[in-house]
Amino acid sequence: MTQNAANEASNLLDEVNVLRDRARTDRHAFRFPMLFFGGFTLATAPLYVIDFELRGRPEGTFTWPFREWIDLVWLAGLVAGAGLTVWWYRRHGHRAGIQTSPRNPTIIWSTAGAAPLVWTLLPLAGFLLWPFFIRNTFGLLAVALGLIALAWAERSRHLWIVTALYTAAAVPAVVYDMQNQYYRLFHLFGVSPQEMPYGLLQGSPVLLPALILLVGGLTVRRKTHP
Amino acid sequence: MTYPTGNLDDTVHQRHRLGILTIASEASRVEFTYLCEVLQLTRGNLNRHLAVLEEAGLITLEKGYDGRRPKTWIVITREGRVALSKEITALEELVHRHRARES
Repeated sequence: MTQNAANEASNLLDEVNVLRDRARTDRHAFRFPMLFFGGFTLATAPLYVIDFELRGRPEGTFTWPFREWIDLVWLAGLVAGAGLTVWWYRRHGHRAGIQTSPRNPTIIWSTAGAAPLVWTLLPLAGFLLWPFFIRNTFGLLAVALGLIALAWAERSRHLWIVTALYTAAAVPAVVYDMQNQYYRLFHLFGVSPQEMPYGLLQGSPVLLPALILLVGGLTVRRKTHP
Repeated sequence: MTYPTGNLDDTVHQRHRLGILTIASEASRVEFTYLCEVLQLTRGNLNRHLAVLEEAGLITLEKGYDGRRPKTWIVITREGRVALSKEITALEELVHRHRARES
């Protein structure tokens, strides 16, 4: 009797595990946000080059009236990405019959994207957090925070790995001038300071995080059921 | 000290209802047809199990449309998650006790 009960319990647990894996596989829909934010991150690279050129212009010539214009572009991209992610997850849910809620990541993307525009209004926080906002690359961290929430909701090992790599690449790009490392790299390959493409390299900090997300999104395997 | 079978809830312990709760706990909501397919149940059978779970307050049903097609979505409640968690714990305990007794 006891053995039967234990065997039945063991079989039920096996079935539960199979069903859980199947449901998890069917509801995964994180390919789109990975590709969107990878593509968007890559698309911001020329903005830093343009910003560098504009800031270098002499007084009196055209410059942007608002210094944080790149942060505004990031905010627009993050809000658009959040909205499109909600749409994508609903579409996937209707097609697959099982749906994950992207609520937390979309809230994070939308609110964290606005942080660089409001931090100066908070005197103490502004003083403590300036290293995160001074380079106009905080959007990378906002994407990373949303991805962490998405990985938590999706419970996917693939997404956790890509998110960890992205975050590891994004944090130095936010708090440090990664261009310096690229200058060193170019110097190692024999590029002299006079020949150094300083303007072009301004966009380099976002390239590695973008590449990680794009490769991560492209390598998501389409799942099949036995 | 109670024996683990005493912690098994008849409403949840039934194989298909356990399956419904397991799948629903993995998602924000799950569609009726998906459950029919994965659990290999007829619509009538699934409806009966859903009625039991809904009456026990373990799930809620949301009716909606996909274009012109009516759809029923199943959402697990907080009580449903607690009941599922208790059931899994009881099953694991049962298996562990049996294995400990054998070794």
